[in-house]
Amino acid sequence: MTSNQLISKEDLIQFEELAKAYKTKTLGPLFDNDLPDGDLSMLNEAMDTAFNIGLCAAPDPSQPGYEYGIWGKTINETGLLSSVLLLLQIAEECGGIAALLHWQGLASQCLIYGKEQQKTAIKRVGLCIQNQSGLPSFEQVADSVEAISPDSCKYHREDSGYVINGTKYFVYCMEPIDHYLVFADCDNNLAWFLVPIDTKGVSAEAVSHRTGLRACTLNNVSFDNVLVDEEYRIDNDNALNLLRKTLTIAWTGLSAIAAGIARGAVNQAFQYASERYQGGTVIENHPIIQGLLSHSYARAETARSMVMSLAYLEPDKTESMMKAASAKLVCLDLCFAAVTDSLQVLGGYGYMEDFGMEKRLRDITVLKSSFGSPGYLKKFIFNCHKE
Amino acid sequence: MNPEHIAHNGSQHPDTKEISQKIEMLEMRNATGSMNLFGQILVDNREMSLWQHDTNTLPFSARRLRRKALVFASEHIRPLAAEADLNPDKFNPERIMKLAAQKGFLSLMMPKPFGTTPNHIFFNNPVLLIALAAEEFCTECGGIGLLIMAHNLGIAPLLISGHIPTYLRHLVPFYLKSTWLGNSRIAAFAITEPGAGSDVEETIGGAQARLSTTAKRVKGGYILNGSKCFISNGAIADKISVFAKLEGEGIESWTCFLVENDMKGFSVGRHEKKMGQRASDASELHFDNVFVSNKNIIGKLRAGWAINRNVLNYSRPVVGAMALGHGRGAFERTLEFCRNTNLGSKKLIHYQDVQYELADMAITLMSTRATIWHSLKNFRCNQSTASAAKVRASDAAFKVCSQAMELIGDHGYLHSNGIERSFRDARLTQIYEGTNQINRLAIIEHQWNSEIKEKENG
Repeated sequence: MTSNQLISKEDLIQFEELAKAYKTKTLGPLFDNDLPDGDLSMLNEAMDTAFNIGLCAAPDPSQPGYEYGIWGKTINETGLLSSVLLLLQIAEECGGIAALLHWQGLASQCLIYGKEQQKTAIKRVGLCIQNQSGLPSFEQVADSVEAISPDSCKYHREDSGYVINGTKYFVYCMEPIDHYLVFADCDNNLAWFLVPIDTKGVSAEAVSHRTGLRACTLNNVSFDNVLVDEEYRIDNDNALNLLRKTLTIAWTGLSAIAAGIARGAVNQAFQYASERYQGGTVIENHPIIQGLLSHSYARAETARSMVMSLAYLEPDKTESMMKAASAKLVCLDLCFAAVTDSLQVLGGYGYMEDFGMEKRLRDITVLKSSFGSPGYLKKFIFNCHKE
Repeated sequence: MNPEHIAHNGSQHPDTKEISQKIEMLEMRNATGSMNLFGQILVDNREMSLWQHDTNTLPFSARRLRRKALVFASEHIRPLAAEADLNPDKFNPERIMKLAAQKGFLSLMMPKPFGTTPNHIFFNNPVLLIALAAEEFCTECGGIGLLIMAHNLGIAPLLISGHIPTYLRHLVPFYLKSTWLGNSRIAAFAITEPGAGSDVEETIGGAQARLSTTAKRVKGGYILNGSKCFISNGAIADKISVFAKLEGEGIESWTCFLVENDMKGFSVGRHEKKMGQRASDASELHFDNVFVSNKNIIGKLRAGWAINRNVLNYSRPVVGAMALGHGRGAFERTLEFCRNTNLGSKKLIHYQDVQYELADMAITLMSTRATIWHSLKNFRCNQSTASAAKVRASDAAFKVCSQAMELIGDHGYLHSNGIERSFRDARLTQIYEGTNQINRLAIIEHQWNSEIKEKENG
């Protein structure tokens, strides 16, 4: 059990109020139109606001979000609860923006946790972990380090630095990005490198149109004989531990976003059902609709409870990784069912872009498959359990 | 020794040649050789796709149509699918509809010589061939499939009315132009109103529906006022089957009118932006004192509700077939991805857990197809079996599409792979043609007297 008791109830309420205010005042105008994913031309401004009010974490200690932003420094002392609450709130309005804040925060946390170094002028960081075949093979994260999948990024020593080669896939990031944080391998020696985007040999290819989470930029990033100095290796020879922690927090965050999306969907469905007239009455009076609504509510709340239990994890423990993986596996199923049933309550309107419900379904569909498909998670859990 | 052969059987990379040879011996295609001749005859070792296996169970003309639709879909629909979904505003359906008309896919609702369905097939079930084509088209693209199928839906009231004057005035001439001249004039079906969605697809709701589209009797015909929404092909249809209540009366007076798109007072309103099936429009239609002559009344006055409900009985298996197509498209593209993509040293297709998921999807699709084809075994479509087929197929398709996306991880949600498109397309089949909840009530309604209600004394 971590020291969540150091966060007072009043502090937690303040975190939630901050998120609610951001949701209403900053995100509200983004969705005050009939665009399917909001007005993405306003996204930069929304992200700047998130940085300025301390919602969005950054590795630079001078930034307001360094300590208390999502996955900021304080989670190392007080646990994950505050960040989980922030993500739950924001995801009720938009899963894509919650995901942006989550990935930015996670990259910042890796830098904060890793080697102490000059971190000013590092603001927006893209986390490069996934290979073409997906996340690193589970053997290496369950204490024993086996070979990474053959298509991983490789590094080797050269002069006073390292040379990195390879490609990382499905890198979620917040534009305009200034650095990448790259997880690489050299004959089972794992390492993390901070790479400025203007380093020679770095190139990014935008991933094509996709189902959801469209507020996020999604790139495949290639490293072609990229040379970085020693100081840009940030793992303190503890790369595996950092990966463990990263996966735990990543899955916790994705589960929290899913639970937030589900709650938003259920609330919208309840509202709609109280207003829509069919079958001689408002539809909330029909037992079939009551069943859909209550089942959706139960699923969304169960997922939320599961996410809240993750808030007390110590992220660098194998057991925590298993719990986070289990939560992602089960939570996403529950939340997906809650959202699709909520959409069903809206009938044809649920399928139309201007009602916002189909966006929730698209976003949660992406969450289900991204950063650890159900198949990957099942294998991962089995092997961790075997260990 | 073939390492891939070992992986196919899910065994854990046996080292010995001996075990590999044993596995090969035990496979049915080889093991059968040790049986006596009659035993061998009873074993089906033919190597054929499930598609071919199912097709072989159909009558000859149906087999031929199914193959023709498959070829049409792969040659003409597949190249358009991705772009039509991504940029529906720029997609012009004229060419594909013309091709579909020339191939006879717009005139399947009547028997030859008026339409393109062979008589013996038509009088077995009038929509069997439409359902077969629907599955093939929607395997490639749900939006383009809907374009073609919504046309058939628009024509359906003319046939279902059973009204000989309607056949002679409208149905036969329309179809002859389509069948003989490849004329691609398009039809649409307009029942849904802003205040009446589920209500126009179910009896109890219908009795309490708040309808806004009315028909006022004048000399020589009727004046229509009101609006319809979510009408597939509404923006491009030449003829629309519009249902309106007679002025001063309720839904029991619903009458079907054939509105032509050049009639004064008719206009197309807002185009809805849908999550999927985007190549097909869903538009608002407005009727502002539209005069419709008596000759354009489909069937009898006040027969509209019954015509509407019966049209749904014939269209629901077709919607089920469309859903099946979405699921099958997702499955086929996922299979292709698994064949071509490595995980470690071998292709995805050689992993047992991947094989398990693929088999599960195949089972769902096969059993769904069986349910749909069962609902099309009789000349008259049955309300219960039609609704059951639609519900089963749409739920199954959504499940298969979700499974497909999850199986290939992050690649599943990329538009370029075509799987997420099927997912978005499939979701609509759980909503239109009556939500799956409404369809369940339709089964209860239909079976109430025969087997649901309490038994009388004894």
